[in-house]
Amino acid sequence: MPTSDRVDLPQGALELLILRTLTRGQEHGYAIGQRIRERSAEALAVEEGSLYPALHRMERHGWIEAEWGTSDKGRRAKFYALTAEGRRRLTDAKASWQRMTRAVGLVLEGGAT
Amino acid sequence: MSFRGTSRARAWAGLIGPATEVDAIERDVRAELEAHLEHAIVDRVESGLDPESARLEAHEVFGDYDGTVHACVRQKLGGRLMWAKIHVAVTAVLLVGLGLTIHRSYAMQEQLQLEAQEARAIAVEFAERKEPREIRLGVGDRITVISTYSQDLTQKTFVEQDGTALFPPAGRLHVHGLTRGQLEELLNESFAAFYTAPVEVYVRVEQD
Repeated sequence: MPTSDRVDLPQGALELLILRTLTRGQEHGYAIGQRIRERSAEALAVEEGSLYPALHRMERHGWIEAEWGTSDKGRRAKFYALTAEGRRRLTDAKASWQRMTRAVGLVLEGGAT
Repeated sequence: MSFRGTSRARAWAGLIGPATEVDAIERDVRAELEAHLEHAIVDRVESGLDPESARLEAHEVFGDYDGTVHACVRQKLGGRLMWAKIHVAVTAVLLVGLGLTIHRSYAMQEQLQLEAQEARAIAVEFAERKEPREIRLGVGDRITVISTYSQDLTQKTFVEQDGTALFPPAGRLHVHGLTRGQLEELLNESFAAFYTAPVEVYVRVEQD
């Protein structure tokens, strides 16, 4: 995908995407970035400078937990997994995101009337 | 560049926790980012790039490595860093406040010393005038009271028709017919009730 077709993530979206990605099982940082890129049809390219601070912030909030392990390429990596608190956060954040996108869509399409 | 390598980071480390803990966090973050780069290099090599080109491209795509390390450490420390900043800010405000209070206290002390010196100078001047202590007070006489003890007692008053004069905080006193010396004794006794130390007042009388 050309760089111009890539989308900048709005505030809060990165955390939502990370939480959603981890519902499929634990992943390390590099794989999380790859999954988001693949599942967005290459439209979302998460920069490492945003991804890793977000992971550490989310870990501090207790939404995810980290553990060192070995990746499928046989290399050491830090794996992140959703916590129960993280699942609740995902449910709330997803509902909030859907309300917001619906509202923005309504405005862009000329309003609800 | 290391997070621990700057004096600023060292200073924060002292406030937010043991330096060894901050070091451990930074080591963990660096290990994680190194693992990320290794995976990125392996992916590129598997896609056909030569190892050196893969390494260069992975680093280039990653961007600001040290900036990311610092951002992660800050996130990891989170609230503790904020509390450390608040702690420093509150301490600075308290120190400035304390400094101002001490400065003001010295200034007030200096001012009081100057006032006392001034009062003593006036008292000496009074004494040197050698006004007769026998002069007797009559209606309309103007009285000036000077105290070396408190500026509050220094005042001007006069003898009213009923023979009294007002001397705060002692109140109205009958002074008609008193000599200057008797008035000084009366005032010293009357003011003594309001102060813990001898007040030492001097009186000057002006008559028409």
